[in-house]
Amino acid sequence: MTHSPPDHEPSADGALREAFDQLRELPVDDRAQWLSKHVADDARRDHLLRLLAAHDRRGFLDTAVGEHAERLAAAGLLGSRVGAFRIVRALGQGGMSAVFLAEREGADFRQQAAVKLLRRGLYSELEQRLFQRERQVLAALAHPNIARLIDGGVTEAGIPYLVMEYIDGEPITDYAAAHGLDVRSRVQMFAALCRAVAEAHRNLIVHRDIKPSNTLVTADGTVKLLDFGIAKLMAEDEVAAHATAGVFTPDYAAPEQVRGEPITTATDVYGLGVLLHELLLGLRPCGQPTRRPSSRVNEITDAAVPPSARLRLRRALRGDLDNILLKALAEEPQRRYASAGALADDIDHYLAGRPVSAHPPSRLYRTRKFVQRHRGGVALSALFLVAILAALGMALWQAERAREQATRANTVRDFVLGLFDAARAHLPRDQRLTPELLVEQAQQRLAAARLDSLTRADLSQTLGEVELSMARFAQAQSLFAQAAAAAVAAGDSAAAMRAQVAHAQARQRAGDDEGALAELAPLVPALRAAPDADLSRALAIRSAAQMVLGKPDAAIADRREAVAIAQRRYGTDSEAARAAQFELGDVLAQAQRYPEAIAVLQPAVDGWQAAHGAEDDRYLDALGSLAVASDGVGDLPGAEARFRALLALKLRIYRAPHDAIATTLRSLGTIVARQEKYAEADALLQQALAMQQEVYGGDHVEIAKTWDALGNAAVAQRHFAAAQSDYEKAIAICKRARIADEVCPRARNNLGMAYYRQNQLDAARREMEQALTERRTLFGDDHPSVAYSLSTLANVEAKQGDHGAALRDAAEALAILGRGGRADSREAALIRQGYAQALWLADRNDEALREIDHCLADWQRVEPNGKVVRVRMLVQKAQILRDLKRDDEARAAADAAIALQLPADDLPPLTRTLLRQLSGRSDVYPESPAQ
Amino acid sequence: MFDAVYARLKAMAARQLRVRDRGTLDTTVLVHELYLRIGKHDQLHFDDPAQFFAYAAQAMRHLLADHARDHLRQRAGGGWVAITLSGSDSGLALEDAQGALALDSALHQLEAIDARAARVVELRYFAGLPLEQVAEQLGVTRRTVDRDWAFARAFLHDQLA
Repeated sequence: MTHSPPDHEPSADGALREAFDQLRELPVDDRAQWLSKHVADDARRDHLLRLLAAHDRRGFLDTAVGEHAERLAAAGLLGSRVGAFRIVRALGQGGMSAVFLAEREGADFRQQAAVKLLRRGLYSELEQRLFQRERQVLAALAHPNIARLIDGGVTEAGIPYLVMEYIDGEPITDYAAAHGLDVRSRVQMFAALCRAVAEAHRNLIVHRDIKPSNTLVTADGTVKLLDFGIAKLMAEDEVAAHATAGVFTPDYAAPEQVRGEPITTATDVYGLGVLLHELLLGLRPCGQPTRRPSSRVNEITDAAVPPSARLRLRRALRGDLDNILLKALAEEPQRRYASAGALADDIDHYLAGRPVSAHPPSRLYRTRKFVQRHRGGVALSALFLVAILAALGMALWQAERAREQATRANTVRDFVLGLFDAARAHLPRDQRLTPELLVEQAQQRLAAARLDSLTRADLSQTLGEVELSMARFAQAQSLFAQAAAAAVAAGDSAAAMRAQVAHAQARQRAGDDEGALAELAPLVPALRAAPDADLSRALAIRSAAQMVLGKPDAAIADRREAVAIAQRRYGTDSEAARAAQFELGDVLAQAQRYPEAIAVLQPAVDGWQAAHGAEDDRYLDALGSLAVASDGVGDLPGAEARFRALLALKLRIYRAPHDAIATTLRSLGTIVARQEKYAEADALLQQALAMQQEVYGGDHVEIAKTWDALGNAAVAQRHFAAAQSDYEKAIAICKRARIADEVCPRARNNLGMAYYRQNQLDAARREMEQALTERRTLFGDDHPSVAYSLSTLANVEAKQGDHGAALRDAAEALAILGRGGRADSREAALIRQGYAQALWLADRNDEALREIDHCLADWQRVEPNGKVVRVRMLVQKAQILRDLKRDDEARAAADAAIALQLPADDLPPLTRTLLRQLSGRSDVYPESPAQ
Repeated sequence: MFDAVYARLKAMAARQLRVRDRGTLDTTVLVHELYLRIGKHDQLHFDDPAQFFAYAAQAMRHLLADHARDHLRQRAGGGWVAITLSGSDSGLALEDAQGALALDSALHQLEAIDARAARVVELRYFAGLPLEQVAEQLGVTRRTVDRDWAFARAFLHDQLA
């Protein structure tokens, strides 16, 4: 193939590329001369020299992209706090976790610990609960030869972590080699290890991952076993992944682990066997379980072991140690020692010179055959384990209550994880069960299983949470009901209430808000007796249901209580308390109780910032609500500042173009437009529109919303033709994409308002009536937005002189708000003013006066600083009073409006004229000569 | 389409990071697995493999930049406390983060100067394709790709310096 010339344009850049290519082909010594001859420009010459230098050195691209990504992922947490500890440096990376050295400092102490961060997040509530329970079980494990579990939890980012005693030591194999320990010393050290594992087995905890790197010896010679039970927490997909990747090397894993079969205490016995084998021979057992370890001595390649030592070693191993190792390393779990305790006993026999129980496999095979009855591909590994232990006469189930709880936690966890094991181990990826099928299978198993009531309650609850997380509400309800019944049968009222709360949540999520409320009614008072996470959950559900049912006051009360609980339980400055305040503020803002929302949100946001809280969804939502609330109280500059802060934050977090950025651009544009900074507003809204068109590619509800916002900005500039076109674009998107969203009737109603502003009343009424119909279809007859539609329609009708229709629609609007518990809200006050006006226009002045007084009182309460509207209301009141021939009071109302001392520019000319007339004072708001 | 590819790749990368024993995220394996998965039974059907690899490469590029941005964001906010580190991981990671973002912007500059060379970087570096396959995807000779790569690498390393 001939050399193809670079197909670049003969541009300056092309010349750069060509010069670089040519330079590279030249010998190094000739390059300077070539450069001075062919490249006249100094800057270009420098650039080429830099490129040549860069060509010869290593750089970013010489490290694989995965390695960069990996380091980022691993180091992201250095220096940050995990629980009470601060991460200092990385200690190592495991398959499932990263381990860091961490420190906690107090006034007079400094504690070091190993913090293990699991690679996978525990995103669901179920996973978190399983993890917490496992942690509690492990924390109870105390033994001088086991590294203690100090703490654990889940970071803000959802990363589960464990804090463990930090052991400064070296792997047992290295230690033995470095200290030249003889066989007997090694076996003694190993015996201590066996006793430690045996203690864990008595607590039904299996290590699963015994290997030299987990077995450290400290400077004073103490053996410490690390990571007890941790493997199980992390091994979510390990075996399956290895098996499918075809790279599984059974270095330390027991055969049943490789096969994805149930894990039992015998698995640890195998691991101990491998460890002893390596400790004694420096070799791992090969895959031939019948081969005597003593016969492998000549495979030792270590030159440090002289022939005489090999001979001694072979003699030491032959017989008892051979038998012990073969028994520990048996292929089938039931042919091994039943537990580490049995292995430890045999080791002790060996050390004391007594006969050991281990015999050549053929005899053992017959004597242990009875255990086989308990086999059979059962996924319920803990039940299997329990069966074996019971067969051996270990009366675990009679243990004290704490032990019982630990046992149950294990059983539950193993049941669930066992199902997942069963589901994935033997199937190709594309044939694996879906979560739905898995849970169904689990339910069938659960129905058939013989379990005590508490375990059944626990399992039903767990499966219910899974169903809930998959939004299968009917199934979730059924499981929670079973859980409640089982808990009642077991006499555990706390568990019963937990199940009922979850049941109520499933109902609420399914749309049965009233049912959920009814169910929670007796629960909440009972839960208040001992406030805990279940009460917080119940309150959150109830609050959500009440919001949907239009009972914002009750919803707010529940959120307030949740805040109080969080503050009591975790402290006023805790993240949990502030997050609860965010929720409260959000609900207040939704209920349009803006001053209260600000009073709650502002200190919470400030505190969050001061504590360097994560800039996560909760924080972003709170900032957004704060901005909306500022807008709501008429603090447009405040709202603008907050939206700008939110935009800056989102620009740091997201990569443009991004829908989250576009949404904030639109909100900011809307606020800026309302402050009559139209050039910037149009630019922001156009930017939002362009970004959304790029992100969504086609018709999308967010694009419709932006067209609606553009329409509003155009109306404000009295560009009515442009506004109509914008609104129509929004409506067209709704139609084409069959969108059923609030924005569709809103844009249509706004289109009606644009006609209304141009005095095209028939067209306005047509669009508004259509919008009203759409809103009723979308939200039902009792929705606040229906009330809003009715109120605008009433304005049009009043202007058309159709006072009957206007009064009817305004009254209906107020009735809707009244039924929703919002009779005294901000928007009710505004609608009521329109109603008062319609009454006044219909010459029903007594009623009009009553309504205008009502809305003045409301307005004073919800918007004490909303002076423009207040002036308008006072003017209306003065007009009504004048028509009632109560001239002194009319004058007083007008004077009250004038006393608010608003600048003339803030008031429409008509209002200024009315104020002069009604007050009888020609000196106020004089007509400017220009007008 | 890009979003879907990106989401899929991100999930797969996260899984690979999770289960791998030692060694690093293997881009080549990742991208080819993605290709197989998407090719077989997916609504994301690509008629042209070249189109797929272009998408995957860009997705990988975004993935790294997003990682880097996340990292720097964590440093800026979220509880980062500056302390003296005895390990070198933090410094390395910071270099990685800044490097990754600088690379992204340098690639934009390279695109303006020599679009095909930028494509070569994406396919070779981000999608992990062998240079032969890059040549095939771009429909040019192997030699041209070699020269593109040499120029791109020098250009980017100079920009990053």
